Amino acid sequence: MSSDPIFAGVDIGSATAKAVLLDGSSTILGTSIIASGGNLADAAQRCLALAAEEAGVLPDACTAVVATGYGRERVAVRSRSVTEITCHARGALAMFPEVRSVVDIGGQDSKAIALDERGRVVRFEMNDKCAAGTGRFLEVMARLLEIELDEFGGRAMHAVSPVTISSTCTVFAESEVISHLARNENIDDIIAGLCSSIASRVYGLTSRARLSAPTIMTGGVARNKGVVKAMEVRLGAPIRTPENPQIVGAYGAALIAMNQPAS
Amino acid sequence: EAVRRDKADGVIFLLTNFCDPVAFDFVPLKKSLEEADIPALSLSVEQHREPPEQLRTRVEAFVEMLQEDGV
Repeated sequence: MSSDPIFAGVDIGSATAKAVLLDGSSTILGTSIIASGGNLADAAQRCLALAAEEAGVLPDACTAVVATGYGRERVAVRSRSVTEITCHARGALAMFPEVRSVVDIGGQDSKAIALDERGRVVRFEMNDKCAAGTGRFLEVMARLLEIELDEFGGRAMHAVSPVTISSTCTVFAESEVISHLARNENIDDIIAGLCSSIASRVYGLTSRARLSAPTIMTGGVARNKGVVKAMEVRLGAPIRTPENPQIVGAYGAALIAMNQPAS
Repeated sequence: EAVRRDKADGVIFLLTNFCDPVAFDFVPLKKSLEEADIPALSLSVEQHREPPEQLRTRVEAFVEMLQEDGV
């Protein structure tokens, strides 16, 4: 095996653990996404090992490892930890150099991040403890409607007249959905209503952070076309999404590892 | 004035939930900080409770933001 430097970013989120491995010229060598589960330290090791396997290197071959996400302090091999706000901004900037704002919706957090013309974070807003306006909300609703999470966004695009979900609270919104079902409303219309409800919740954050265009959406929920579209309607501007929005934080962390090896 | 005197890079407001007298002062303070281009972070905290992980992320991200090229 060669001794070329390898830089790793490990993002331990509330729902999934992600790892990205880069070579010295910031080319992605390997990535992985697994469920975080109940043991974050173990998830960190497993996702790093999977990404290393894809890259064809040993997990302990990494020159520097930057950990991020709410489980960042549980990553044993980290050289340092950096918050996911800085990492998502850095990752999005590398993918889209013209980016001026990032909307990151993960499993339990949503964030609106404003960048200046040099790509530095100037303001950010983050949701409070409540799971409304996050991936968890979608998970609960997908389970209730017996629809795979991956199909959720596509179904929203088929809506004819989306229903209004007025409760922001996940638990209250769930009973609201049940009422819509009882009234025999079209499921696609209910799904579109749920996507809009997330967008309006996150819109509160984006307004406070005073985001400017172009906006990039990252995090698992960016895979949901219904939410992205509803967010575009709210912002009144198109949103771009990376091919794999879930790994943007880990990618940003790996870039930070590359620029600043272990001190 | 205190902010300028101490050359603070940024200001963190701790707002106790449902404590309106403090929140009342916050609005003009935040406005004048914005005019002076001094970053501010406001955190809502509950009394007698350990701050949750999300508060920690906010504070750390705020520090990283102030370090600019430090990351």
